[in-house]
Amino acid sequence: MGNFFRLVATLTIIAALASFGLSAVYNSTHEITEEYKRQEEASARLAALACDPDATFEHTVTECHLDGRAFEYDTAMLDGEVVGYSFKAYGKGYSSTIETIVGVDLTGTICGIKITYQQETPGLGAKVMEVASQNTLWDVVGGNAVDEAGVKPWFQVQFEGRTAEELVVVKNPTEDGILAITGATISSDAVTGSIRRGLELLTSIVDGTGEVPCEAAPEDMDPAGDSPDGSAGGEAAGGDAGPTDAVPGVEGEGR
Amino acid sequence: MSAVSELTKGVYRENPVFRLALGLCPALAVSTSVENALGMGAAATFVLIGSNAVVSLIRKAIPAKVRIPCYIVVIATFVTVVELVMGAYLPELSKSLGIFIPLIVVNCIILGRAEAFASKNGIFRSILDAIGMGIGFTFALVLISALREVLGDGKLMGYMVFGPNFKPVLMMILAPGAFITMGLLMGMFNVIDERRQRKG
Repeated sequence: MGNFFRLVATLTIIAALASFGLSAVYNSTHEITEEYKRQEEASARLAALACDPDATFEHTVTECHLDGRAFEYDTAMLDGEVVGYSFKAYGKGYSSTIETIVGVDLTGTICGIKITYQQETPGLGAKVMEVASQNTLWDVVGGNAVDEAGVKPWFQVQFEGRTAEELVVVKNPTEDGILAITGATISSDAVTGSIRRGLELLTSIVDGTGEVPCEAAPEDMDPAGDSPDGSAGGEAAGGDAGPTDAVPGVEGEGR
Repeated sequence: MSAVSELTKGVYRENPVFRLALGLCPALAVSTSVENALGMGAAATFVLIGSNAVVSLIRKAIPAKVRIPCYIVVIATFVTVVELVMGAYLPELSKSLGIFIPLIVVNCIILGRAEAFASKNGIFRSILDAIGMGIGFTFALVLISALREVLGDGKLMGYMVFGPNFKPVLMMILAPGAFITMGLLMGMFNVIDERRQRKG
């Protein structure tokens, strides 16, 4: 019996000491982590709304659902007047749900986008974040590297100045549209499609046209968000949802 | 065994990945870029040093029956420390390593060294062993990832090696590339070893 007590006591003491140590570390790092997240969100929104960097935002949660989530948007105000909108789009990519903050002006033209979360395959889908560096390794080693701190990811820059109808993924650089990052287009479609659906729904709500039906939360809503209910918006707006309806697994990305 | 060879054995002679074939899972998964490899290597080395030191300190107080749960608690504590500190001070790296940081808990190198070495040796030697194994693991990761990044993405440390017109071998950055690279490297180390033994 004494032996049994010793086993339990040893493990308990070790676990207790570990928790004390961890709570101390947590307390000293928690604030910094939270602060970083806040800053990132703020800078993403600013980058997305490059047209009105001084605007303040008013948050609206709508009744409508898109891609399995309640659709939320921010109204950008400048001197008491509405100057634009910003919303967050969620597109299901190959191995993650890609989150994008989108800034739009009053005519429905995109001012800028910023991808805030993705866990796509490195070297493939993750290229949605790629900055097309002109520096080679030899430039860097030789000290000839050009400072590229202000260069934005090339895939995301393509969205600037486009309206919802112009958000089409293309594979050939000579065609007009969003040039896909790889030959297969799961991640490109995920970002482009989620932005277009969001933009169409947003326009329909703020203009009051009701062109895109507002979908209430489905009864059997899939919390993972991979139910295809988000495609309803695209079909209602003219049935041109073609490239966005890629089903992961059907259209291979060479893996 | 001398203290110096305790330190150096992990780098080549008992390299955890190439010789002991431990920790293969993270070696396959995070070796897509040199940057990730360095981050993962540093994180695992820190956890190794911490867990080896603590396990060696408390080795006499732990009853043999509960030693594995005790080691796991110690290892998990250090991994959580790494996770919290990295999230606060190196958020970009923490994002790109993602789930593989918490998974250091089940990295067999760490539990393996605690059980096979730290539980039988003093704290000084245990720390030396941890540093050596950590360097060896990092070296293996960097070697695999450098080959994969250069061939599969045309880059090294995120910078182009061959200029913008190089068409990379995409497969090398995907899972099959990891297996192929690791298999060839293991084979290469075995051949070198055989040659040496024949000479000796």
